Amino acid sequence: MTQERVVKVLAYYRDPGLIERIASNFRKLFMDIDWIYGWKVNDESLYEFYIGVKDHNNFNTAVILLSKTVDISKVEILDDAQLKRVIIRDGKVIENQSEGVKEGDMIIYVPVFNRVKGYSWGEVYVKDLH
Amino acid sequence: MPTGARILVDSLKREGVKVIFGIPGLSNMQIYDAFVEDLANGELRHVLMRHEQAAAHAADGYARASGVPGVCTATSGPGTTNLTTGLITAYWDSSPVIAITGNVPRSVMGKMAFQEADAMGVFENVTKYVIGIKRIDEILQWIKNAFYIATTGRPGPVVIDIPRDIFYEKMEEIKWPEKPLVKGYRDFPTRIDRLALKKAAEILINAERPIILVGTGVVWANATPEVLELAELLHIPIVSTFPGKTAIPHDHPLYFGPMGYYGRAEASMAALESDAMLVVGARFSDRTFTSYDEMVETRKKFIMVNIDPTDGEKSIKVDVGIYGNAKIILRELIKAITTLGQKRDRSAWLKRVKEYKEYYSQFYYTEENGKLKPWKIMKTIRQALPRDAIVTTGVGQHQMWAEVFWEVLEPRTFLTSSGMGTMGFGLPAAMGAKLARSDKVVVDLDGDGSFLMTGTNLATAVDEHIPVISVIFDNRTLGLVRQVQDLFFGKRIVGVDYGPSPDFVKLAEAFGALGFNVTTYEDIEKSLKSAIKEDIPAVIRVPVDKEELALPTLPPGGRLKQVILRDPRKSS
Repeated sequence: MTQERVVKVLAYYRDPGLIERIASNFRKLFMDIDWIYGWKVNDESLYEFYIGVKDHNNFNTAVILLSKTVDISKVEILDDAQLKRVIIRDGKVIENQSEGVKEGDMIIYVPVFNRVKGYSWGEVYVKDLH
Repeated sequence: MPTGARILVDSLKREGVKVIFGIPGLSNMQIYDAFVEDLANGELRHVLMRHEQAAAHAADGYARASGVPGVCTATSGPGTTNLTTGLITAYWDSSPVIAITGNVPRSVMGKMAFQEADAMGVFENVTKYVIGIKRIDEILQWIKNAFYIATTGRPGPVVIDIPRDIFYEKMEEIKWPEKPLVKGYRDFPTRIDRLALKKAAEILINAERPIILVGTGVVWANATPEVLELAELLHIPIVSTFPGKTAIPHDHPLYFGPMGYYGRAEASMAALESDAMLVVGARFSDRTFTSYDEMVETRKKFIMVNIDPTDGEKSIKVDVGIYGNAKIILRELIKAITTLGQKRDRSAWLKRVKEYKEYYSQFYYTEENGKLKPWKIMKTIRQALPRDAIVTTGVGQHQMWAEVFWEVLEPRTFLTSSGMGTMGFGLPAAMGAKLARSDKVVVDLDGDGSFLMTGTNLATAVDEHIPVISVIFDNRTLGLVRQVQDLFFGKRIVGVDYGPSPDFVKLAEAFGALGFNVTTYEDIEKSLKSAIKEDIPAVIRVPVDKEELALPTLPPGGRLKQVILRDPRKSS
């Protein structure tokens, strides 16, 4: 089974083409996106996206190219991210991993990770979280 | 109260725009209406091109020749989509072009309106950025932003798409932006990393066989003097990428030509044999390093000086990366070398590279009775032109001959579509270059196939008095494809040979240009001089044998060491 890599993208929204350009960055490098979700972070149009992609020889190239795409503030590789599934059912948060999914549930995968390697317009940084 | 169209025109003028290449239509004619007075008083010039692709190429040529962005405009729908090839050409060669597209009114957008194209969708993957203007007040800031994005970092084309109803709107209070404001975009910083500079200096000083590889980043940074100073300081030979040949005067004794797929063999061999390579303003493209493994196997050390820090992380491991403006960094590198103060005798290495040059010359400069040879045509043209003449090319065999044989004598005088390889680039790019540098002689070295892809713009050159000269290497075939079919597809030549149409002299004359049909080298010289003297657009048709090959070359997917120097058909 191909390992999944998880990246976090911080970007400024100007139009929905932002999502297209993030996705096409992977498409152009023959990469598949397993999942993507994101939301607005603040009133300055800053959005964050979490993206799960299958590992690929082009993964690092994709991150580097994305990190110098107009509107993208930074791209962080969440090293060895484990995905914790969270179910939201009738407004309640269910973190029990063995809970079955029912129709109408909202499912969010929360990445849990210890280290990030970030890229932002030529700057590279590493953050150890623990 | 100014309209959106007027605000747009004033915004462009405030960015220093003098020339706009374009074609009006339903959705951008409001811009034209707004600049009527600016044309009349000479503050702006509009050049009516015959196809939007050519408008983009002309803006690209303007940018490459001048160093400032070129501007083009197109109407919605087909006008917009016609720009695509020209803009991706600029993108691949890092050229700052600003394209203004009109679009259908906001009320009908997305509803398959007449002449509607999704400009944002069309351009988002073929340009550096595309901006969809949503409100009149956005024009002010986003025109400034567009020029900032186009010219900073790795330069590139930016599209501004404006629904035409915004052109009619009016705005009461105009507050011109003082500076660009683009969230989520940053110019690449110039880092003066003393440790890296010292390490780079030590590598270059201690290397037995160092070499400098230059790309067009040297031109954009105006770093030619620094490259030459560094090379002279340490006696290091210089080679270039194909487009990077415009950075270095070819009569400099340390320059050995462009390396790569169709490059000069001595440059490629010297690059392979070097033990340290300083790469300035160039990325590791697959045309320059045709096999990354081959280059890695040499175990040489790589020092990269590049505006884009990520270029050093994409293909080959760089030993020392120093990122930022090449001119500033090279000055610091020269200082670091001078401080260390050691010098190594490089006479043996330079002798070796010169021997390569002499050895390979025997393959280049051959004669055949009754045939005009491309190398000698180039030499004849070179001798007939001033040192600072600007040359553009189309794409095909003639372009490869220009790569090997055209002698650039001043920086920024050789413009070619190297990254995208776009046929039809030569003539419109020459027109743009001529408008940017009207004091220069501008010559388009073209092929018969390539020229006809945008040749209708000769009408524009005549109408608008843009005296460029197209020299057409006419072999009545798509020569480069034919060559590959001939050599590597078992001589199965198909779909490439043209018939007798057109007669290029009559075609030129029909457009009102001068037409010359030459049969000797003397004719070439005479016709060039005549065209320069007449100062009107001209076409010089030079017959070339369709069996002529563009050499050196490589087999498809080949390594530099597999260079083909002789016509393999003659040795078999």
